[in-house]
This record gives sequence, C-alpha cells and structure tokens, in this order.
Amino acid sequence: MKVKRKDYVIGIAFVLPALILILCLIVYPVINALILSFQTWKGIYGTPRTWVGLKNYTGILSSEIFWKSMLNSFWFIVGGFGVLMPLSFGLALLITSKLKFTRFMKTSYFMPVILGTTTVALMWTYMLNPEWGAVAQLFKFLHLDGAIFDWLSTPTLNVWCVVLVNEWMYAGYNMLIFAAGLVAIPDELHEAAIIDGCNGWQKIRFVTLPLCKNSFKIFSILCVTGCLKVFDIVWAMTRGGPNNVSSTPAIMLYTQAFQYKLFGRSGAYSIILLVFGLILSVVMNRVFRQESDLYS
Amino acid sequence: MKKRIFSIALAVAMTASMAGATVYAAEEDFALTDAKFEDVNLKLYLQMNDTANNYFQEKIDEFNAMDNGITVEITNIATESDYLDRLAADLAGNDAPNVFLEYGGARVIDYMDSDALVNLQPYLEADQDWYGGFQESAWEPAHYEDYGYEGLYAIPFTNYQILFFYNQEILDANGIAVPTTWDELMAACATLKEKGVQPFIVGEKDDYRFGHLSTVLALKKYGADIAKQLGSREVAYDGEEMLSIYAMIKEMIDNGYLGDNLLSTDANQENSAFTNGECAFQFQGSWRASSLASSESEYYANKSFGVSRFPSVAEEYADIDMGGGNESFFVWKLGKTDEEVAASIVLLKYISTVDFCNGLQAVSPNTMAVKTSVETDNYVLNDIMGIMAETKGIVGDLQNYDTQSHMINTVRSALQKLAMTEDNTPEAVGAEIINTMSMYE
Repeated sequence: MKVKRKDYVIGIAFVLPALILILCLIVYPVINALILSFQTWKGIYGTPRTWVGLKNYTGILSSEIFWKSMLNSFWFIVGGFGVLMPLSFGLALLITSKLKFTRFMKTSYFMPVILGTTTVALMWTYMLNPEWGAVAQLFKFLHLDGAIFDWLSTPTLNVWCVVLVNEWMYAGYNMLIFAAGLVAIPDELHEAAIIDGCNGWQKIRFVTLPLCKNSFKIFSILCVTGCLKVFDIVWAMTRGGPNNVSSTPAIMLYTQAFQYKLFGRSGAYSIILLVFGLILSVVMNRVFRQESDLYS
Repeated sequence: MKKRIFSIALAVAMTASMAGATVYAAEEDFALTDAKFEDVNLKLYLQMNDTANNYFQEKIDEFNAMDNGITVEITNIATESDYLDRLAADLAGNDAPNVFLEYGGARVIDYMDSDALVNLQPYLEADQDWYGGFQESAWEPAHYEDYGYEGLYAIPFTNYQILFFYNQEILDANGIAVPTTWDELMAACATLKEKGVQPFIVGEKDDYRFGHLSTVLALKKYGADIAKQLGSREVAYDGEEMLSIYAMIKEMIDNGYLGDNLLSTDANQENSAFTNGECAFQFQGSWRASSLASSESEYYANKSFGVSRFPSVAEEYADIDMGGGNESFFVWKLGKTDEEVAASIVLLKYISTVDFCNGLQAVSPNTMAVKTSVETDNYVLNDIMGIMAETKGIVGDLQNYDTQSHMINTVRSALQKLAMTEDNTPEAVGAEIINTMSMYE
C-alpha cells in the first residue's frame, strides 16, 4: 500500500512536538555541555569562554578524587544488583501472590518512594546519628554499644549507609517493575509447571525468571544509569563529605561548577558520565538480549 | 470638542508633572539625591534568619511604597551553602540579582576579574554622610587593591569577630577561671574532662568550624601577616607553620576536648549543646549574641553566659583576632542598565541607614557595620561590642587573601580529615591541600 504524502505530514506533525522538546531539552544542552567541556568558564553569564582542548578531561581522568567518586558509584551499582534487585523481586513475588493483605503490603512497600528523597535522607540521617539516633538507641538496648560509631562520617561505610537507604527507598518502586512482569505471565504456565512436578523454587527458576527477562532488563538499565548519576540522596545525607569521601561523579559535577566555579571541568564530568551511561546501557542491552533478537 | 480639550489638558498636566520630577538620567549623578526612576525592578538576595528576613521584608515593602519608581523583590535563603549555590547558579544563568550579600575577599575575585561588580567609591564620596556612617574596621571586604583593583566594591553590612564564649556556671562549679591563654585553655579542658564535663562540642559537619578555628589559631600564633604570606605562598599550607596549627586542632580532637562524632554534628547542634549547658566553651562569631538571647536558655536568663577574646597563643598577637566586615552588599553590573545600577545604589543607601540598622539590631541583635545607636539589653552583645572596640588587628578567613577563589573550600574540606578515623594526621591535611591546589592550577 502506498503511503500518501498527507500521511507523512500528519505523522511528522504528531512527532514534531516531542522532537522539538527533545532538541531543546536534551540535544541542545548536551551539545552545549560538550562544547563547554573543552573550555574554561568561571560561570559568569556574558563573560568569554577560553578554549583549552582536552585539559578538562585529562585533569579529571588523572585526579584521584574522580576515581574515588566512580568507586562510590560502583558501590551503588553493586548495592543495586546485590540488594535492591533481589529485594524488589521478592517484594513483587509477595504482592502478586495469593497471600492476604497484599494491598496493605503494596502501600507499605511503596511508601518510602512517596516520601521523597530529601525526607527519607533527613529521616535516616537523624536515625543514624551515633549519639541520639534511633539506630544507636536500638544498639544500646541490645547491649551492642561497641557497634555504635559515626556511620555517616566513616569512609566507605558512609557510602554503604547511603546505598542501603537508597535501596530501602527504591525497593517499592522497582517492585512495581517486577510486579508488572509477573502479572503478565499466564497462570497456565505455572499450572503446567506444577503438573510437571516443579516445586516452588523450580517454578520461579524455570518459569518466572525467564519470563521476567524484560523486567530485569529495564531494572538493570535504570539501576546502572541511576547509580552513575546518583546525586540527591548522597547530597542530602552527606553532601559528599566529609572531605569528599562519599562524593559521586554527579556531586563532583555540581561542586566543580557551583563551588569551585570550574564550569568547563563540570561540563567534562557531565560528558564522561554520559559516555559511561551510554556504554553501560548498550552492555545491558546485549546481556539481556532476547533469544528472538539473536536469531533475527 | 470637550474631549479634545480634556485630552490636551491631560497631556499638558502629565508633561508638567514629568518636568517637575527628577527622573534619573544616565549622567554621572553619584549623589543620587531624591533620584526617581521609571519602573525599575531590582532583585535583592539575602541570607538572613527568619527574624531579620521579616524585618527586611517589612522595610522593603515600605521602600516599594515610596514614590521613587523602584520595586524590590527579596530572595532570602537562610542556609549559607544553599544561598551561595543559588547565587552561583543565577550568576551563571543570566539571572543575576542587582544587589546581593557575599563575604568578599577571594570568594568574589572571579567577579572582580570579570568587571562584574560596581565600584561604589564615587557614590560613597559623593555622599559623605553615608560614607562616614560605617565602622572603619568593616571596610576590608570592599578593598581589592592587593588584586590590582582600586576603589570600594562593597557596602559592609555586619561586622564580626570570632570570640570565646563560656558558661560561667559550669566553670564555677568546677573551680576553673576563664582561660586567657592557650595553655590555660588546655589545662581547663583537661580539668573539665577529668570531672566528666565536656569542654567544647564542635559541629564540624559544617566545615567552616575548623576553618574558623585554624584561622584564629594561626592569627594568634603568627599575627595578621600570616594571611598574606599564605596568599602569596611565602608560607605553605604544608609547611611547618601551618602543620603546627593543624596539630593543635588534632591534639584537641585526640584528647576529646572538641566532643565526639564531630563530623555528624552540625553547627546548629553545636549551638544547641552550648545553649543547653552540655559543654563549657564555644568559639563562635559575634552573631552568637542574637541566638543566645532568643534561645530562652536559663543560662542566658541567669547571665551565666560570658564572652571574652579568644585565648592568646603568642602574647604579642593577643589582640589580633579573626573578624572584620562579615556579610557585605555587592552591586552586580554585568547585563544591568545604568538606571538599574543607580537604583541599586539608592536601595543600598536605604538599607544601610542608621535608622534601618537600629531597627534590625533591635529585633535581631548583631554587630553591625553601620554605627548604630540602639540601646540593647543583650548583655552578651554589650560585652562583645566592648571587646571589639579594643581589638587592635582584625583579619578575615585566611583564604580570603588568596588569589585562588577555591581555596576556602579546599582548606575547609581538607581540615575535616583531622576528625576522620583514618589518614587524619596534620601532614595528611597539608598534603591534601597542596594536592588539590595542583589540580586547579
């Protein structure tokens, strides 16, 4: 069937608004950041920018603090796959099961997402206060005084504290992603598996997990890109401190621009993050490639 | 016909009224006496507590109601770091305020280099009453001669000094006199610790706390010259002089004199701890007089809070202290019209009159750069003003005299190492500062 010229026009008219928004809000800022990353600029509107070539990139890639911040992002990724993914999947299994009170469970697990990052971060910052925080009081009650120390100021441990708070907060959100995948699996497949003699674990292993591959793919891409650019919860809990030990690349991007007035270097951070994000997204896509894709 | 006559009469009346008013033109009228403008909108950025902000809002509403053609919109952000981030974001994004508060020194040197700030000297010289209304010691943030810029680039707003606050009731209960030297302070801290009383509780989560302490100790040990020596790299941040300053702080930390969990305690918690009598001492700015008075603490009511000069380290520098002009108002000119700049000066004059500052001091006691005449019953503030009047040399943050604007962040961040559990030696702090400096060269 021949497509009419009028159909093209209508098609373009429908695509155009989204295209304009993408050009203005994504493509233009990215190009601007890319150009800025090869310049120095003190962040004063109307003042000239100086071309410095790759200096910002070499400065970043040769600095210890950048790699430390990347390591912190890596801990977020480890936490995402090691804690958040099994936790969210487990919660999704619970709320899609035939147990009672699943509505209550759904609301409860999703509650931290509704609270918002700043609220959650402040709440946990207070709870983790080593002197009067709830966690310290609980440890005292359990006579575990030796385990009480300044969790949010101890290098690496403070990053893990933030990672775990992040997992607690987003478990409900990711539970929905997995739940959407789980409810899409026809009951007949589970029934067939039971007839074939599968026990509960085998049913999950051989039916549920393979058919949730797309959910895992979505989770993985969101997790990796989210962990790379994590900013808000770290900023609200530790501000990247003390002495930058809990900084992430996104925090470095922000502080380089607005505290150190190195907008060119900040632009370079953003481009490095973008490139890492793209590479990891492509890798994730390949890892979770469907069998049908392989043969096509 | 009647309509035509009425229209002509109206036009004549409007023209006459325009001729009568002194509408601001771009000629060099630096005095700006009774200047009027045509619908000039100004943005004023403040970093004030709620009480001071309410006072500002009320007075700016009165200013807006005046028949001068200027309308001012206030943006107030109470938290310092958030305020500075917002300011930096707006200056980068073509949304610069006309008038804003800053601390001056190296922190604004990038703005000076970009010729973005108005030289206020001609306006001050054209209005001697205004110029002469400020404390002499408050002008330091306005001067940039050391960077090659003649003139005055700020209007000082508050004046400050870092002082030594103590709780007399706690000292009396433990038989301790107010320490006046470093050795006496260390001895007092040791005695208090032995008796189970916490000497200081420092909120180093806000990294300016060690920043202030290191500046005070360096000034008390080496005198005022240390600021410029560090700025010119004659003295190194990892040199013997500064290492000994970091070591003094480290000694206090290791002995537990500054409290536990310093990095998870913020400045507000520190203030609360001192106000509630949980510690005997606090080093803090003169602005503390206001929060002590409004704390409803029984210690304040019983006049148990005392204040003195920070204990001396070297006797010859006993009267050298950290302080000077604190917050100052700057006028932004990049992308602003001449009319907006002139209107900004009119606004500045309004908010730095004695009446305006008297009113502010009455509701939010502080040491002002303007020579105020308000009588206060805040005994702490009265004592502070007495001490400040006798101060012989006053120097701001050491990094304010640097050529690199990042130094204040760099040094403060590195000093946090001292309170960390690993890599926390004075040498590590010095090395960290030098390493970071090399990254930004």
